[in-house]
Amino acid sequence: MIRRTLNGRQHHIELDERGFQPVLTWAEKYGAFWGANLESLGEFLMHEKSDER
Amino acid sequence: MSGDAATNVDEVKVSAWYAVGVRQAFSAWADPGKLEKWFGPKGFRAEVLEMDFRIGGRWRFKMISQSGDVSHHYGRYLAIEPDKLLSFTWQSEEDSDLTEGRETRVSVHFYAEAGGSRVTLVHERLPTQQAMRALEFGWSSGMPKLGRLLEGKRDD
Repeated sequence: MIRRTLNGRQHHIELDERGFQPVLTWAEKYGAFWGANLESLGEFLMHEKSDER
Repeated sequence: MSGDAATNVDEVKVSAWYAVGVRQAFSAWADPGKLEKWFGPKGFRAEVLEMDFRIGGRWRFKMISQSGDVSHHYGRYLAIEPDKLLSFTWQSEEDSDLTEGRETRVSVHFYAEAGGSRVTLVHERLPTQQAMRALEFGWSSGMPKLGRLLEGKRDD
């Protein structure tokens, strides 16, 4: 993920974002997963509330 | 329901408000019969395979999509404070390559708010180890040089 090259006295450090892709994919996946879960919970709670009436 | 979400690299945070009390919201997580009725995004259903609802107790769910795809998730309960907090470890069998066998952690907070309840969920310790290691290497190798440069010293 980190590429380092030397050019005389200069050090170039480059970030290769492709290395982060699995992490970002995982975070996006779980962000969507939990968001959808809280929506499902909301629907369930509303049904439960209306059943109580 | 009203909700919002935030996604950083190392954690996922989602929050929603419901027009019910915190006791009812908490109960939906604590009662396996209720949990099976709602857990999972639309188009999925959940089966509770194991749920020992006490600190240290194990849980394991099976999620089944409409097309029949199956995934398994499991963990153990870390904190249970009725109507306030539920915390548990989370591992996905199908994502084990990404989590490198580590336990991630989910904390669900319940707050009374505006006549209803707010549920805020944080999923932490996402598989950032590889990323963090790379960043640590990058910064630790670069920073001393920068420090020396700012102090007017030379490397050679």
